[in-house]
Amino acid sequence: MTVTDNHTEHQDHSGAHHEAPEVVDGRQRLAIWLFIGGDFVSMGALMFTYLYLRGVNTTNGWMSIVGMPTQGRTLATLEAGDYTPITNIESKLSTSLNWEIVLALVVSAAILWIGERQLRAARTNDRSFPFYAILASAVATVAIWLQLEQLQKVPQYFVSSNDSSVLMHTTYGSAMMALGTSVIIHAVILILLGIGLTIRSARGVISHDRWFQVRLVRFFWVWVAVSSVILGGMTTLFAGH
Amino acid sequence: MTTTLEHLTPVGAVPAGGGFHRRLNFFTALISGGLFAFIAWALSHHFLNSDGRGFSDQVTVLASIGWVLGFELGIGALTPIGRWIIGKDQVHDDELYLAGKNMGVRRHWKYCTDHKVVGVQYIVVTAILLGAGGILAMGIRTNLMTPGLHFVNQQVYNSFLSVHGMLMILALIVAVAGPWANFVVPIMVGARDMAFPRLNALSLWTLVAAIPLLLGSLAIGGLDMGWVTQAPISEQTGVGFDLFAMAIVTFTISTTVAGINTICTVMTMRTKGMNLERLPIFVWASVVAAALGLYAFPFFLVVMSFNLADRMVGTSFFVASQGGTGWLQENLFWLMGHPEVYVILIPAVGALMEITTVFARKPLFSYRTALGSMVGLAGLSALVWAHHMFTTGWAPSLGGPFMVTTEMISIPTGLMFLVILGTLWRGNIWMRLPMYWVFGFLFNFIIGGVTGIYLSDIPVDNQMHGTMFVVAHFHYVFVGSVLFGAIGALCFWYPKVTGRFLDERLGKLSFWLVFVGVQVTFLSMFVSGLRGMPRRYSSYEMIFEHTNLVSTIGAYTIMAGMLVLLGAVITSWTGGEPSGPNPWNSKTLEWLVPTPVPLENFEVLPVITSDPYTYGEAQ
Ligand SMILES: [Cu+2]
Repeated sequence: MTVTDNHTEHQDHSGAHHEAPEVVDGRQRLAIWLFIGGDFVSMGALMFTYLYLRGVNTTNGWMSIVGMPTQGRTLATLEAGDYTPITNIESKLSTSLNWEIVLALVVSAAILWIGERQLRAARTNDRSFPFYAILASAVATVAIWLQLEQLQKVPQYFVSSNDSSVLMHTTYGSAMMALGTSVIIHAVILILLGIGLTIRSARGVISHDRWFQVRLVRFFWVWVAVSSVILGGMTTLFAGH
Repeated sequence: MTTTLEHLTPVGAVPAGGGFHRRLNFFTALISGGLFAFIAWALSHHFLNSDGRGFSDQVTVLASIGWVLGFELGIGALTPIGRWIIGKDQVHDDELYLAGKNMGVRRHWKYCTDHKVVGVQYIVVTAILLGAGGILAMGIRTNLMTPGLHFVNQQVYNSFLSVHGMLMILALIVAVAGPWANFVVPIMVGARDMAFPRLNALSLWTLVAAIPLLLGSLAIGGLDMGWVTQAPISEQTGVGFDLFAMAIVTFTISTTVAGINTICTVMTMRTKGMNLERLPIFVWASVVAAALGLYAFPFFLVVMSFNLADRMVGTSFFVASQGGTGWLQENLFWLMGHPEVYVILIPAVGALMEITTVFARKPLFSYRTALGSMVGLAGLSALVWAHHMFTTGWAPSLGGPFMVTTEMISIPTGLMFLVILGTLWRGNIWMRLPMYWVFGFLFNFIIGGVTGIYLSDIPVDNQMHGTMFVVAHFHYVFVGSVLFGAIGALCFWYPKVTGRFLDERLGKLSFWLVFVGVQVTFLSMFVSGLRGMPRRYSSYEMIFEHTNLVSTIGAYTIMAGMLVLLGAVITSWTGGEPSGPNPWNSKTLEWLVPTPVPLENFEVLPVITSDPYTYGEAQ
C-alpha cells in the first residue's frame, strides 16, 4: 500500500473531534438505517412466528380456548372429570383497539415530522419545536396505554391446583403478546428520544440550523409507525382460522 | 506523540473532564450490578404472585435485568445516553478523559472509548470465555474417559455440556471480530477511532455483563439441555435456563451495537484514497460478518425471549399441548444458528488471508474472489438453516432444496480456501509463528468442510444426526479452523499491541500441541460417531471405549497447548523480544503507525494511492 502524508489535511483538522456536522450526520444516518435493518429482521421473526403458529394450529389451539372456563377449579376436580370442557370458543382481541394503537403511533410520527419541517424551514430560531416533540411523545404514551389495555384482554385461562396456579394462553394470544410487548418496547424508546429532543431543543442544542438529530429520530419514529401498520394489517387480515 | 488533541491539555496530565466517570470502574460496576440485582430480586418477591408457575423464572429474569442495568450504570456506559436526553452533551475534556488519555494501565479497568483499549479488553474477555469453556470441556472429556466413569453426576454433565457449548460459541463470535475489528480495523482504514467510540465501549461492557449470567446458570442449578436450547426441554429445565437465556439476550444487544459500529467505521471513516477496492481483506471480512450478524442475532433475541415468556407468563409458543410447536423453536434457532457459523468463520479466514499475503510476500490471490466468496457465504448461509432439522420431520418436501443450498455453500467456502492456496503458490514463504496457524487451518478446514458436505446429504444425515460424528465435524470447524484463525491473528497482531513478539518457541510448542491434540481428539471422535455413539450422553457402551479414551487424551493435549499459549501471551507482554513498529514488513496501514499506537492513531491522516498488497512489485 502506497501512502503519502496529507499535509493539507493538517490545517483543517479532520480528526474525530473536529468534523463538520454534516459528516457526523451522514455517519449517524447510516447507523440508524442499520439499526432499522436489524429491527426489521426482528419484525420478520415476529411475523414468521405469528403466521407459523396460525398455520400449524397444533391441537386446534390457535384461538380456541379448550378446557377450563372459569377460575377456582382445581386439578383434582379436573382429573375427576368434574368440569365442562369448552372447545372452539374463538377468542380474538379487539380489532378496533388494535388500530387505535396503530393510529396513535402514526399520528405521533406525523407530529414529529411536521415539527421537523417547521424547524428546518424556520429562518430564525423557531421556539415551537419542543412543543411538537413533547406532543409526539405524549401520543406515543397513549399508544403504550392502549397497548397495555389490549394486553389485559389477551385470552387466557386459569387453572389452579393445590400447590400452583397456571395462566395459559392460546398461541394466538402468545403471538399477540409478543407483538404487543414489541410495540411497548419501541414506544418507550420513542418516548425517551422525544423527551431528549424536547429538552435539547428547549435548551437550544437543537435549533433551526442544527436539526440533524431530529431527522435521525424521525427516521426511526416513522419506521416504528410503518411497522405497526404492517403488523396491524397482518393481525387483522390473518386472525381467525 | 503529537495528536490533534495534544495542545489542549498539559503534556502527561490526565484530562480534567469525566465528571462522575472519574469515580467509576469495573469494581463499582460489579457493586452496582449486584445491588441492582438484589433490589430487583427483593422487589419481585414483594410484588409478584409467589404461587404462580413462572414465579422463580420471573424473579431470575428480573434480577438479571437488574444486574445488567446496574452494571452498565456502574461502569458509566449509560451516562452518555442520559446526558444526551437532558441536553448536556459531554464536552471535549470529558471525551479526552473517556478516551483514557495519559491514564496508563488503569484505563483498561474503565469504560474507555479508545478503540485500542477496547480491543485489548476484548482479548481478555475472549481469553476468559475460552478458558471457562475449556475447563468445562475438560470436565466433559474426563467424564467420557472410560464408560460409566461418572466423574460428575448426570445433571452436572448436562449443565457442563450446555454452558460449554454456549460459552464457546460466544467466545468464537468475539474471538477475531472483538479484538481485531476494534484494534486494527480503524487503523487499517485510516481512521482516528471507531465511528461511535462510546457505543464501542458500551458493546464491550455489555458483553462483560453477560458472562456472569452465563456462568451463574451453573451456580443456580444448571440446566439439562444442549446449547441449542431445544424445546420442550428448554421449557422444563430449571432456573439455570433463565440466566442462560438472559446472557444471550444481553449478548445480542452487545453484538448488534458492535456490528453497526464496525460497518459505519468502514463505510464512513476511510481516509482519502482508501476506496472500497483498496480495503485490506480483513476489513471486508469484518464488515460482511457484522452485516450477517445484524441479520442473524435478532432471531437469537426473539427465540430466547419466547422461551422465557413460555416459562414466565404461560405463553405457548413452543408448548405443543397448548397449540405451540417445538419446530418453531428449531426454525427460529437455526435461522440464527447457521448464519452465526459464518459470523464466526469469516473474520477468522479474513485474518488468515491477511497473514498469508504478508508471509508469502505476495498480493492476495484474486481479491475479488476473496470478497465474492465472503459475500456469497453470507448470502447463502441465510438459506440453509433447515439442514439442522432433516431428521425432525419438519417439512420433508423442503429437504431437497435445503440439501442443495447447503451443498452450494461449499462453492464459496472452496473459493476462500483457493484464495489462500493461490496466495501461497510460488510465494516466498516466511515461516514465522502466524504462518503455522495458517497451515494448520488449511489442514483442519479440509476435514471440517468435507465432513460438512457429508452431513448435508440427507441419507447420510439420517445415519449421522445426533452422533459424535456431528460433534467431531463442527469441532474441526470451530476449533481446528476458527480457533486457529483467532490464534494466528493474535500471533500476527500481538507485536502491534504490545511492541513485542509473541515468544516463537513457546508459540510453536503450543501450535504443535494444539494441532496434534485436535487430530487425536476429533479424528477418533469421528470413529466413535461412525460406530453410532450418540452425542450428549454422559456414559456409553464398551465398544466406544478406546476411541473415547483417545479423544480424552487429545483434549488434554489441546488444553496443554492452550496453557502454553496463555503463558507465552502473558510472559511476552512485558518480557518479549521488542518488535519495532513493523516487524513483518507489512504494507497495511496499522503497521505504518508507531507502536504503541498513539491516541487517535495518526498525526496526519494518510492518503492512499494503491492497493493494499503490493508485495513483490517495484515501487
Ligand atoms: Cu448449519
